Amino acid sequence: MAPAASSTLIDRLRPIVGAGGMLTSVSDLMVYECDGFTIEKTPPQVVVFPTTTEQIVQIVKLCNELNVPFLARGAGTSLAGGCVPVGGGVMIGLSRMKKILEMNYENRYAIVEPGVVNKWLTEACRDAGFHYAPDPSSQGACTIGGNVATNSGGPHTLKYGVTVNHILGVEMVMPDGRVIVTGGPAEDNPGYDLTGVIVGSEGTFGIVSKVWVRLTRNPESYRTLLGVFATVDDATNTISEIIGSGIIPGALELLDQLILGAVEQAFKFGFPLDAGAVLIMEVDGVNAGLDDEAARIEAIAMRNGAREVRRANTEAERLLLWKCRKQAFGAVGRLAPSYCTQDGVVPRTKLPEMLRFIRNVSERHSLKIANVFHAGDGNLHPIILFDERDADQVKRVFEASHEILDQCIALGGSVTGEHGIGVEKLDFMPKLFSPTDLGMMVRLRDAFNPTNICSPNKMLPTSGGCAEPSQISAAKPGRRAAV
Amino acid sequence: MAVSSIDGLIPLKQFSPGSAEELSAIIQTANAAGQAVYPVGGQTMTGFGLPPTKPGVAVDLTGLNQVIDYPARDMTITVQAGIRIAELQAILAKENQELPVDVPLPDRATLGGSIAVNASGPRRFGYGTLRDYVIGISLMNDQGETFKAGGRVVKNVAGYDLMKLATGSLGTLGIITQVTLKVKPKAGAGEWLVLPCPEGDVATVIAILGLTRTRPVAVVLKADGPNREFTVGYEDNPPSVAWQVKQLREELPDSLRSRLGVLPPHEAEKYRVTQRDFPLLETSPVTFKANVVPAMTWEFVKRAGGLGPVEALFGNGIVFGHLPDVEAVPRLQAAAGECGGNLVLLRCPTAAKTLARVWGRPAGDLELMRAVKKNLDPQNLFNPGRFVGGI
Repeated sequence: MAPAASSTLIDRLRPIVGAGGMLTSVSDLMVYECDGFTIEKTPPQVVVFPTTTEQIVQIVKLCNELNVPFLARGAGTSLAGGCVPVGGGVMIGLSRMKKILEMNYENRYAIVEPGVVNKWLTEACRDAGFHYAPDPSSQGACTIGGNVATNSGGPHTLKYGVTVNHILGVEMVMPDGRVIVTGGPAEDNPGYDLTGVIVGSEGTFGIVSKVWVRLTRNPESYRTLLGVFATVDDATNTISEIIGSGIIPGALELLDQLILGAVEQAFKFGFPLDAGAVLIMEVDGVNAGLDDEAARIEAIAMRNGAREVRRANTEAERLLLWKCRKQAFGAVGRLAPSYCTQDGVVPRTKLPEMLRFIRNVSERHSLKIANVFHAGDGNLHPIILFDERDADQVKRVFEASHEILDQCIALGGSVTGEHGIGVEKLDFMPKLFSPTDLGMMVRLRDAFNPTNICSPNKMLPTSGGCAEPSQISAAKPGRRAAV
Repeated sequence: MAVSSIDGLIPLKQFSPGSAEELSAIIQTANAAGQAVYPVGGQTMTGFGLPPTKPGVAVDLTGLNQVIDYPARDMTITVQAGIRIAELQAILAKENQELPVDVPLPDRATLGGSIAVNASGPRRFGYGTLRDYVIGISLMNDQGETFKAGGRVVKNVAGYDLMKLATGSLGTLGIITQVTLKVKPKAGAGEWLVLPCPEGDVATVIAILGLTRTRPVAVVLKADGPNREFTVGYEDNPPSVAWQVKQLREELPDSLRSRLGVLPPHEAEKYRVTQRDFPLLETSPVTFKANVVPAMTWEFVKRAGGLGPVEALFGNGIVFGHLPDVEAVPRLQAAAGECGGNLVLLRCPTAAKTLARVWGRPAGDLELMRAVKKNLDPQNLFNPGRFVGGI
């Protein structure tokens, strides 16, 4: 059956969400043609904004009836094209489902709608002494639903774990319109841990309409240190030694010279602009134990050639330091008209080697590459600066990105630590996984999404070799997925 | 060790593969013959689940027990799944690291088996469970082909998280052959405190532990006959642990403070072993595991108390208990349901096993679980009939 014409689709959707709950004009739809991965763009046929699970069900059932693909979108902050509507279809924007339905401190969980912004949740429980632990840098905008889809990380995941470690259950509208609930406030429910496998499925298993999240008690106290290093190598050696010494910091973040310049211009923190790199090193927990750990970390940094180690002396100073870190990506706009962020992971001890490799790539391709990343996890975010109006630069950016990610694989790592495969990294899946691995993943997806009507062509490369890769522009990985 | 039978299923031909290739051949042969495959590890929980529904072969995986890679400074380890937990912990201990999951009977239990049954213990309050530590996994499918997910780095979102799916799957989706774990440095210090507690004071203690400024890694309540006893565990660096012990003492009212005892190291170790192994004590024929909403743990213990010894992992809502027979099981399952959870039987005489008794109330997502099983193990080769809903 051929997909329905847009007019029929829109006429049928209107009674479900109301005229005010949808966008249909070309100019409005353009906003939704991509997420934070701007290289691949396809507008949806229509964007709808349901406010209830029941509305999602009706939308999904209609899409099935009319044979139109659909996908969910939170805040659109994802960086791998996870919410690009490949092949068009209906985009289900969840930003109006933003209620916190229950805060249960006694049992340490909250129930939220998917459109709740990550940071709202932490703000809502701050006075009770709790927080929601995963804290992606985009936490001021990104939604819990989106975090569930991509299994988001953040600086503090080094100690506290990623999204999946904090999700107790979900309500999900299945691709055929059924509603299921997995997990819930009680742990260890008998049966398969479907919650665990839904988290990180990048929206290919259904539309999550409600989430049970774990709330974490706030640490009693923090010690936040800023290590200043002449070279990136000194900083990465410090990271290696801190982890090797048996200390698990709350966070361990590296910013190199290029990013420091941009961040300093934006926030005037007082970063030393001549430093090769700085490390934000934070320990948290019971106050009585922290001076000891902070002193050990300081000693390790000094032993590895730190020029100085500063301490955040007030909570305001600490928060400013974190603001600089979390908004570093925004500050990059000061350095170049366009940038492309990568999300590779290597075993932590391979960081010095990997960063040297990135420097080499930068020189060979004559591209500036800034680094700001979750050093303690080995999760790199090289930011390649370019001008997208220059076709040759764009080509070099692709080459450089691919070389960096290939090297992550060669060093025993992965091509994505927290951003996801989306459409951007489909080509890397066969490098990480065998045909059997991918075949089993397809079988799993088919258990949830047998007709592939829900966010088609994401996460797993289409099998069957219908198209010669050479016929498709390397600059359009999403197109390849759609073939 | 020979597997004589699984819930009365005999004769059971047994294989002990020494390599993935041998395992693959066994699976292919069984599949071609229409036989089932029953994976076995350390046989600490072989009786968990419903009786098998198909004749088949047992595969003892303890021969696949090699360490593949242990880059200690990356704090990850890759091992074959048949390695025994105690052996794994001994290897990690040489680097002052551990897998902070208190698997019962670690001298016998294998890593693969522990993952299949989602084994856990007292310190899960502070450190989580196996699902938080398995970062990469290889399984063998019904064709004898190895498939994997995850990797060897601590943060990785490429591909579906089959690690979560395999954890607690009772070996029904494939045979776990290799695992990569994230491990932790051992804490610099640890103290275990014991607080015998009159029944009337239990609620007070729970309230104090809910609001304490300290951060215990374990809070266990043991109820045996008229006795109620809390154990509180702290692990961190020495100044932190010393402060927490002092602080908890201050937070308790006078009448309870005088009862609080700090266990000397060898006593603490004995307590920890006893509590860790409690779920697999074989003193009674029937053992249950209830999972309730954490704040309802005491309510559930009160209802389950008096029937046999009970151990509750506070903060997680997990309660283990031993029973003389299955008579009280429906009542306890109803109580667990009213406390927001469920109750399954870890041990039960084969003749008394029914779907409802062994697995409790069916989950709302059972149909989806069936679909997952059907797609990943279409021949119903692995552990048929033993899991929830008769999967």
